[in-house]
Amino acid sequence: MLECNGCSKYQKTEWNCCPYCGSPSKDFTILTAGEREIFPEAFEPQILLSAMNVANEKAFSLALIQYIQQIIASPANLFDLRSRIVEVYIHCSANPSFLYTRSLWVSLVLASDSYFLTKAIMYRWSSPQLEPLRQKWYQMLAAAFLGLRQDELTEEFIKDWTRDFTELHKCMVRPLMGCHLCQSKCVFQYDVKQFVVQSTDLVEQLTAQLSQSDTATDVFAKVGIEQSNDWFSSNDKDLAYCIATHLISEIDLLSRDASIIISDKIRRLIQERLQ
Amino acid sequence: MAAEDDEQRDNAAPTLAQELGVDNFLERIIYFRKNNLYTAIGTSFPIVLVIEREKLVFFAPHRPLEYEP
Amino acid sequence: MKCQCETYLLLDWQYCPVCTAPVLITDQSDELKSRGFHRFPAAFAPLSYRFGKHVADQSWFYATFCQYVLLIKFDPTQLVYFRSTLLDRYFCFVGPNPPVATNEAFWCAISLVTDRYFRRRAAIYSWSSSQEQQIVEAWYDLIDLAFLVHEKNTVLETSKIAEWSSRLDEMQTQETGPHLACQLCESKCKYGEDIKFMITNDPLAIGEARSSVEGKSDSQQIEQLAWFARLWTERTLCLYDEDFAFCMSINVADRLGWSPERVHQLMVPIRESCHIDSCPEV
Repeated sequence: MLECNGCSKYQKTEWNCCPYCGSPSKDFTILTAGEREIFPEAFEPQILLSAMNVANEKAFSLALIQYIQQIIASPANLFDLRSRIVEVYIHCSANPSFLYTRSLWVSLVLASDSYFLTKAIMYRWSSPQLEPLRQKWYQMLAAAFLGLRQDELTEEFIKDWTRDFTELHKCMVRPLMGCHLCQSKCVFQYDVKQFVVQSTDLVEQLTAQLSQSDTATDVFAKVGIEQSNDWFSSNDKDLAYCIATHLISEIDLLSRDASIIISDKIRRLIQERLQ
Repeated sequence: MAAEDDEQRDNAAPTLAQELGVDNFLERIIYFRKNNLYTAIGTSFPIVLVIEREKLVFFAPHRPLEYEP
Repeated sequence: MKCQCETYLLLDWQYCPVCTAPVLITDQSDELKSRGFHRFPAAFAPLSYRFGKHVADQSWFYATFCQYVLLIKFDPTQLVYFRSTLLDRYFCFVGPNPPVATNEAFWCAISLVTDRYFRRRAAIYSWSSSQEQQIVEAWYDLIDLAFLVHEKNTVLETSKIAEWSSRLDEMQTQETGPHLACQLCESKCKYGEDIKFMITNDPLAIGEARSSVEGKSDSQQIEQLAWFARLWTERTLCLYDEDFAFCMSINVADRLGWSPERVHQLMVPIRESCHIDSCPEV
């Protein structure tokens, strides 16, 4: 990840200057969170190239978001659900057997960095806030994918990371109608949005069901709960509600007034069902 | 006894509003006492005491909330 | 916010990171004109102004402001209770962790919206500039107490707020309304402007009204229309007002493409359906 020397704000690689202080991109420095030190042999030009292709695949970045949310839902998923990442990697890579461990590692590093960077810019995080968490994230990944023995990597460690990372998202933004009812503002918006915009089939199916308005709230509550389980293996009320709210906005058929009313009912249903 | 309770609650009200008001911009904090309500939306905005819907008392923040009729 | 090179910019960016052009400081000429400026100059500092202006430019924020003024008419204490809703809307538009003080950018937003609101009214009701100035200053005196920090505790009688509301009502009184059917309305023309704005601001709502009246008989259509207007009235005002609901019905009918003659013809049954006892149950 890049940081501006002048004002210490995160920068994207494709930028030509810092949007805050205007320093040119030659004044950006690379922040390494130890990801290279963990497995330096992996960062070879040839591997980097193929890993970059994998990391740029939508399916791979979605799988990573999914993995992160699954870990937030339950720490054990760091080990239990890593096979999904491997599956998607094999699917996305042109030559999956070629230096498999190294390529997978570099793909994960690149995809994670781009995930953290997008969020850091969106949430205006500073590097002292994010860097320790990014460092810990690579420790967790190394344990799961490189099999490195990490004595400090206990369940507590993952829980602490989850808590701190979630805490970092807390702010008073309300991007959609109905956000006023959510109690986890705004932990899920980015991750959920990435999944919802990809789910055109689901959106179409819901649009058809919306015309039978007497069952609409029920359908949205159900879909929210189902998808939070399906996508993120989570039973979080706010996550299910976030998905339902994003779907309503994606369908874009309801007036503001109607969205607010329907959100209220959906919220109540979700709360009842996820007691 | 009832009057004493009232007084106690009355004294607790501003502290309560201030405690809850910190870092909690959006939740409207209301403390009831008879027909009077304390309402606040965070520490940067004035806390208001609504007396029987007839009088609004705007408190200067960072000062003890004392109302003298 | 977008750069001329089409890059999407965050509100607090000073340069476009792609084409490196400095982001033009928004034209701050409004700042000097705003009557809210001298009450809290810090709110109009460049960065705060940029956030405040962005919020003030959102039609939803303006619609909420219209609702604020309306609510105060019916219940003066809403001057303080409704603050949280306004602030809630503010947070809809500023993004996560805005680098400005909330009370500053918020005051800027509400000042700009106030100016716009009364300028529009002045044009519609042909107020003189001194009339406009009086009512605006009196409004600022009210929101000043509600949103700005003062050294001393202040007591405000709600009757003062009610007085202001009735003065505004007086200044909005007209002999005739904009529609033919307005002759049945007894509050000409307190609501027309706000209602028109609220309806155009939420375009999908008309689609909802359309689907509820489509393919029905005349009398059913009237009933549905009034039902829709009644719901909207109750949600906007948190109470029921017949003139408001009637105004809403006429405006919705207008947006649905009903001809003025047809609305005129049906105005009596529409008015009757807006009467609270005859409304179908929700």
